[in-house]
Amino acid sequence: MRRKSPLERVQLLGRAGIDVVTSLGRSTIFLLAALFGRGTSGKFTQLLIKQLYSVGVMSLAIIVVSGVFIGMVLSLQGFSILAAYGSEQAVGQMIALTLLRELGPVVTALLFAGRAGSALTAEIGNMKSTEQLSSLAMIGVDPLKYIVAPRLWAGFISMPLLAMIFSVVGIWGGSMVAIDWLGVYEGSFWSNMQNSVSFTDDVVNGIIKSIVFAFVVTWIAVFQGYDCEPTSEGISRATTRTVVYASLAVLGLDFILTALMFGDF
Amino acid sequence: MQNRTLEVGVGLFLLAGMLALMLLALRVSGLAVGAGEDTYKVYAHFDNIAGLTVRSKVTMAGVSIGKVTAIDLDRDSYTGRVTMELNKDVDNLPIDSTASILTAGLLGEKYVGISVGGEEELLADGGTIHDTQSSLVLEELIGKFLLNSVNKDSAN
Amino acid sequence: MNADEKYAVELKGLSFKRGTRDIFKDIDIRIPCGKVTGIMGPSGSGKTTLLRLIGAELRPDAGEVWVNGVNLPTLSRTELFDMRKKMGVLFQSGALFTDLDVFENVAFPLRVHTKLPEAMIRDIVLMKLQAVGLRGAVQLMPDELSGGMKRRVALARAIALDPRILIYDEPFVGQDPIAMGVLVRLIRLLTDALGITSIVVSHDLAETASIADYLYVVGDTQVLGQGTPEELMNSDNPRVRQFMQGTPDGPVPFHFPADDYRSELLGGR
Repeated sequence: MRRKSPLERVQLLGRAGIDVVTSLGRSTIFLLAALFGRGTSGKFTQLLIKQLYSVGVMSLAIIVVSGVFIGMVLSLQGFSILAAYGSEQAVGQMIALTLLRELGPVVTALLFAGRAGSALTAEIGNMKSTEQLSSLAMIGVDPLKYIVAPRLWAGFISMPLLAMIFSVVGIWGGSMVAIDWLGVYEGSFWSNMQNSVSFTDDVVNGIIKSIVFAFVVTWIAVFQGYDCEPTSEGISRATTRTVVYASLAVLGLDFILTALMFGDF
Repeated sequence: MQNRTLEVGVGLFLLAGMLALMLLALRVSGLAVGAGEDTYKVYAHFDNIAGLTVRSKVTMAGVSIGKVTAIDLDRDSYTGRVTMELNKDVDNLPIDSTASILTAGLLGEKYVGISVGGEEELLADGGTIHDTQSSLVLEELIGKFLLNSVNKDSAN
Repeated sequence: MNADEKYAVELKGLSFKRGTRDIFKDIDIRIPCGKVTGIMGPSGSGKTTLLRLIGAELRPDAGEVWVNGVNLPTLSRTELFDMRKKMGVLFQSGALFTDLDVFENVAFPLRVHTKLPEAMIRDIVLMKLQAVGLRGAVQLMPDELSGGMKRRVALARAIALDPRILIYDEPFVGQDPIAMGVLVRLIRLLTDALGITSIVVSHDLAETASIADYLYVVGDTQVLGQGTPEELMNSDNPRVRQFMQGTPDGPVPFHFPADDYRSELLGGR
């Protein structure tokens, strides 16, 4: 390879910038067309149910199992730290706040990107490479309406539910470890939790977070599938991109949302 | 057939989600349905509320009977005004009851403790507790202690 | 109705670019009604692109695409999807919906575009499958079918709505001789029996020439030649002759354009 002159480097930077902006633009048009475009989609409910099943129900197992373990680990770690200050009763509020504000939405979004997001990308990419999308279009059915829209909505609906289930299961796992194993008094465990957790500030903010994450992760996953190069190599690259982009977007957005919701300014 | 398992699965999933929301609301954040109905408001002025926060407990004989809903500064008396919501079923507090800001443990959270007075007249909704005892501020305590020992020294 | 009624598809002054590379430059193609028209050309000559232009999956950079008397690039998205009901496309891979069985695949266009009662849909589906000889496979899933069978099911699906135009994208690629013979017969049969206009996009010379009534040879952004198979065989255009006779080197060079071989080997450093 020949060395590049500074001007060529600037040109490369410019080209990369243009690429980023065009793909942002294309994905936005794609999203708007899929969600709000008019078209024939008579059996939308049926399609949505099918997708809710494959996106939501199929992710339930990994969410529940991870939730229990994360709650239990939080409980163990929190207890050993709090016990040093003689306030092990506060372990309940610590678990609940951590799960509701942060771990519930974030870990669910990351797991969702890995489990459902990659599957969405691969599925749509595969449909594209086997010409099923073109075939739909030629039959006179808009693939944006028939394939993309139900998957987007299924993602938007599923993830907040999954995040709430994650938090509940995590708190349950944490309470089990704290109360039955570490011997924290049950009454103070729950009353401390109830006193410090606010429904509007903590629960609702957590749900808002996971709605935002749901939007971003599903959008990235579905667009990557729809936009991928229709070869097996292209699909595998798109799947990797989905997981990487979605995870980064979730973590970055989490910082911004946390600063807006819980930061003092 | 296949459609049915699909629909049942999705139905259970949605139910689980809603159940989770209810658990979070009721069990975890202690949101009581229609909580505004059976409470009444009582005010108390403190010289120093340092450390007391909104949502802190209000207790009587160690039993939680309500919570702090607002804290602001009274412009006229330069005191901290604490608004508390007490459960309706504890509506027999005499008007000369005492409110004090207490600490749970050495480093624990602050809460308001109410001890009963002896008057016949009872606190009504919107009433004010006049007899108050402020938060214990460690710095002031140490200051007093030092002053006392200095006074003792000079007396000798 | 600007277009001539005799032609099902008319491309007028069509140009299409991919990036900065010209795929087609100002070409005219007319496809007569009720006939089998072959569009041939070497790989990479943009045959599939042409098909997607006719199906309006791609928009031309200039020119008109008249299908059934309508200029496609002027239609809105919704009108376009309506328009496509009158068009059937048989994709290279068959493009069956993998999550539906054979019956549902063929029933799919009927379900989305008509409000026929279930019994009638069943009858139509069985009739279409009978026409391609696969009525017995009605309960199989697409991944249980061989490549040739998939294509026949896809053909049944493409004719489910009785389209006026049927487009075949490389129908003969990767087929064994028997499956190929079956397909050739089917295309001819459907065209003659139903009066469908068939467009066969292919580079398989012998098969296409054997069923086509009229042929176009495209390549190098142009229409290189047109006519009946016999006329093209005896064409005096060297490029057409090279394609029709299958000689490896000629006007279409064996070598991809490159710098001079000798100087590149010697002066590489």
